[in-house]
Amino acid sequence: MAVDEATLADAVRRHLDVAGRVEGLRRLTGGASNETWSFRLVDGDGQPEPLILRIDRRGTWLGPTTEARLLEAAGRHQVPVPRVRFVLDEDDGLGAGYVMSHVEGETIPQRILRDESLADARAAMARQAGRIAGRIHTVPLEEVGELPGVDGHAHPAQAQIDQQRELLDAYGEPHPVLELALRWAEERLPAFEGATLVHGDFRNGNFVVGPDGIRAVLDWELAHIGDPLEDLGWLCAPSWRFRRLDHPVGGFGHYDDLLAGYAETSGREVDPEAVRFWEVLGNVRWGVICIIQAFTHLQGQHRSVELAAIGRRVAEVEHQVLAMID
Amino acid sequence: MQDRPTAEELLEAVGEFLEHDVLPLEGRVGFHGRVARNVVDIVRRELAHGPDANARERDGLAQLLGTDPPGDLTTANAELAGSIRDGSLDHRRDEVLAHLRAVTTDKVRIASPREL
Repeated sequence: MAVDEATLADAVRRHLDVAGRVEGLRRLTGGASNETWSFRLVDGDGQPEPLILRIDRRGTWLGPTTEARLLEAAGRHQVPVPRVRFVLDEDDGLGAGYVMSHVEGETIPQRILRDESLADARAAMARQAGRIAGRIHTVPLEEVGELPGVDGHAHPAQAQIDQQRELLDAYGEPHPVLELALRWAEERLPAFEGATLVHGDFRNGNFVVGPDGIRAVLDWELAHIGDPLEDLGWLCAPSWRFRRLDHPVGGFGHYDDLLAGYAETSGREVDPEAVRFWEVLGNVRWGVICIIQAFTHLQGQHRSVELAAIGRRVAEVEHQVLAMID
Repeated sequence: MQDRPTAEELLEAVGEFLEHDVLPLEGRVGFHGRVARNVVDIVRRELAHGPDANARERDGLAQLLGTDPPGDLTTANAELAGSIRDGSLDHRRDEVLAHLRAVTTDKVRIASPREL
């Protein structure tokens, strides 16, 4: 289903009670399940307001109402996030989704790691990411709505280990390296100190960065209730360092700064070994996601040379995993 | 026996086409052209190094699983994966790690050598 400016303008006028018009509508990204569009709202003589429309095509993520509510809760607790302007309803004729403010800045990881104008931002980003993670993990659970949780498992890490094994079995392609990493992880479950809100995809690539640092955390669709250290490990997983392995925090920073920032806002001193554990598990999860993507091509749901090629990226993920375990 | 170009030479020709005619294109097609060229390079490296790598993997699996060198790598790897998962190879972790490190280095040399 396409989005057209006239339909979107009707929705914007109705929800925001303005007389403006919509300009410059263009699609930014589009997976199979969701789409992101950017546009400008021009209202009278004022400055055009850049906005973002997110549409859910298959109901695979949290659902726009839950995600919008989550963004608002995070924003109330000083997590930098785009401001939700309104949630679409049936009368809009656009599907399920919501409209939020556009936050100006860079999101492409390689540019964030390379751009000269972001050098100062990079130097401060590990501590800043730590502070932000600490704020996410202290958002009161009663404010976040219904999120997937870890029911039936004493330890969220064990739940993830079990889930990765089920996925590996479902695709039927044996991966002894990933199995060894899961076995390694199972024998070393770190202390679990209680469930919190977890962003679920907290990494370089989902940050909007300007010269002043991280301006917004995006892509909350994998948010859940779980072990907060999952977010710290995912941020540091080798797959998300974009070949700058000597900068373990997202390719831009170091553990000490991350954990110092985290302690400032969460009040929690984190054992770096526990972060390393979640890095291993995070990399295994990324490897399994690569397998799933390749099979999306192989099984014909979505034929694509890009998805086919991702299947061969599992080798480098396994190589990274083997460097982390003993 | 097939006539020339050899398989390697054919892939080389496809790679050159992608490089010169598709990569410079804007947007999605140019991006997928880059992906496709990488895929061609993977297949070229696999043609060159795959047979030796598979032979080494076969020998390693035979030693670990205590069988004759397996004909089918998938079946043997499934057995190895299962034994790792159920803990029955825990007492031989060093051997398992050494085998998997060697196999994975061979895989990466074909799939993404700049990782090494």
